[in-house]
Amino acid sequence: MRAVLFLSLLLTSLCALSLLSGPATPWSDVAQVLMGSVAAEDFWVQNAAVFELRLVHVLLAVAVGFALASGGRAMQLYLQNPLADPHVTGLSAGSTSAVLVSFLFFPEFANSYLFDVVPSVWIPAFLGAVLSLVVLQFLYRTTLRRWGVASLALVGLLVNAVCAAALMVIFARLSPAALSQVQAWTLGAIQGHSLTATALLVPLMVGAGVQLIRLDASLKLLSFGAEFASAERVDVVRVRRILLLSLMFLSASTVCAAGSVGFVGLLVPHFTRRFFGADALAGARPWLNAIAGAVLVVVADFASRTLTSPLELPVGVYTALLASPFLLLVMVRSGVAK
Amino acid sequence: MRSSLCADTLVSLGSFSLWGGSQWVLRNVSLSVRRGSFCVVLGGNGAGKSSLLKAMAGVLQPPWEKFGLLQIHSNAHEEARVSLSWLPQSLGFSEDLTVREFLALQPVVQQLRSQPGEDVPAAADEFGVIPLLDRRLSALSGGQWQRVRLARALGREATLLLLDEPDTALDAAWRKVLWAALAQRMSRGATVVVALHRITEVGDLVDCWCGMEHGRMVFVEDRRETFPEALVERLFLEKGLTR
Repeated sequence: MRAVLFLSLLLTSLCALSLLSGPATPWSDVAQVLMGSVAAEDFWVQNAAVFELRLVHVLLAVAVGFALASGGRAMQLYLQNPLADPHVTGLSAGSTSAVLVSFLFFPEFANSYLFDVVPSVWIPAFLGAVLSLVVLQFLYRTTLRRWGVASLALVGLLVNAVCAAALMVIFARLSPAALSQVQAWTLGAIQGHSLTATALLVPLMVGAGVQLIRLDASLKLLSFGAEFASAERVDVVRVRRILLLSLMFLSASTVCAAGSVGFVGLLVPHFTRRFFGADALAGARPWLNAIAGAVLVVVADFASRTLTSPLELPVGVYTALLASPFLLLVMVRSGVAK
Repeated sequence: MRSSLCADTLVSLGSFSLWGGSQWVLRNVSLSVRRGSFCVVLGGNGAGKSSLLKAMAGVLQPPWEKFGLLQIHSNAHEEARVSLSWLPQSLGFSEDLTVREFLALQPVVQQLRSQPGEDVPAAADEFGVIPLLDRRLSALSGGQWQRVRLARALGREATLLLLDEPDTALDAAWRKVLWAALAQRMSRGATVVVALHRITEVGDLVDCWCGMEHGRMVFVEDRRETFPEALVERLFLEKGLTR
């Protein structure tokens, strides 16, 4: 419980920091407000647009990190593979590919908004994820008998490979202007969404993450094998169905919010397992994991907005930069890197 | 004394067969297990003992396919479904759980716990698992892991215990504890079906001996007074393993 509290406080502080500071509102201005030299209300009104933009970033960063870390843990448990993450299923790749296809063939549609609020490109993002799920389900069911749970990773590999090839073809055909526009989708960048759009995406991501957390105990039992889980009254087929459906919503909504953000789902479960111990945390661990994921993406988002300002690098670049040393540290401390 | 407890049938199999995807694993097996009895399933490696227990536990996953009759009968004193506990012969794991986490694992949404020690079954003490509670499963010896698994399997007062070689990796002292624990569960009304290789230590408990060979039931000897020595010797003749 103490670890959950600590991480929650850390996340809240980081969100406040990310919301208040940035190139447009330097620390000196914030300090003046805190010291009472400038009225807080004036400061807030003057910078309302900036704060709204930052609020969108912070909310999406929290939700993306929460969802991806939960997805990573679920996949590592289900596949009994420490290298698994939500992207292993190919659902994110399917979603991203559909987005890029729409930019290639229907650029006007891709750049338009539905009801002036929702980017039209969300439609192909969700359709791509649904189509990938249908293909994945069909191939998984066909190969499950022979390959067991590993077939999900193998089929995911196949979907990922086909999508990667499709992306190469699309990249070759896009104009330089469109290319720079779609780069954010593949590298992972929190786009400039409106507050309304954010309010639609955040519940989807958090909902999918919470659903995966609710499956945690069943997935742990499944990690001992489907027969053992079945004897422990786990409805294996239902759990598989909920897992894939949650991953579909998770992939599509995180792609809509931030493109394809890497490393979060892979690293965070190892980090929480290694640094927050197992004792007395049986039920808390999936929540710890999700909150740690949110912390990582909030930090990465803050870095992407401030370190190279006014240039904003994709958040995926910073999650990779932040995550790699941590992963190495986890490996060294676990005695893997000898 | 025990015969009065096992007046009716708890598990029945009639011409039961099991297809393992590429071959028949069980063929035309017929068996009745009486309520409150201790049934030992004997047979060499690959005879079909584990598959029989798996089928009884109802845990078969693809590519397994079953044919024929397999019924578990509940009576007026039991819930709609007989509670059963299955101890598989071996169990792999990847998640780095502690013993405490493993024992507390339930297929429901887990609540945040502040009280370590909740959900540890009483059988944990019986099998000497308490000092191991905070160890990771990966750090346990074979015998310790078997005791942890037994504590989980026997800790929930199931009506039907299906135990696949429960004495594996246990030393003589812990085997004694195991047989005593099973006798105690039976005195509380449990029915035990156990696949075994080592049969010298359970003689007094057994009500029913079953012998399997190549997926077929070659004998079912229902009276505990008459140990089917000749049949068992025939079953294990080639391997020189007898009572």
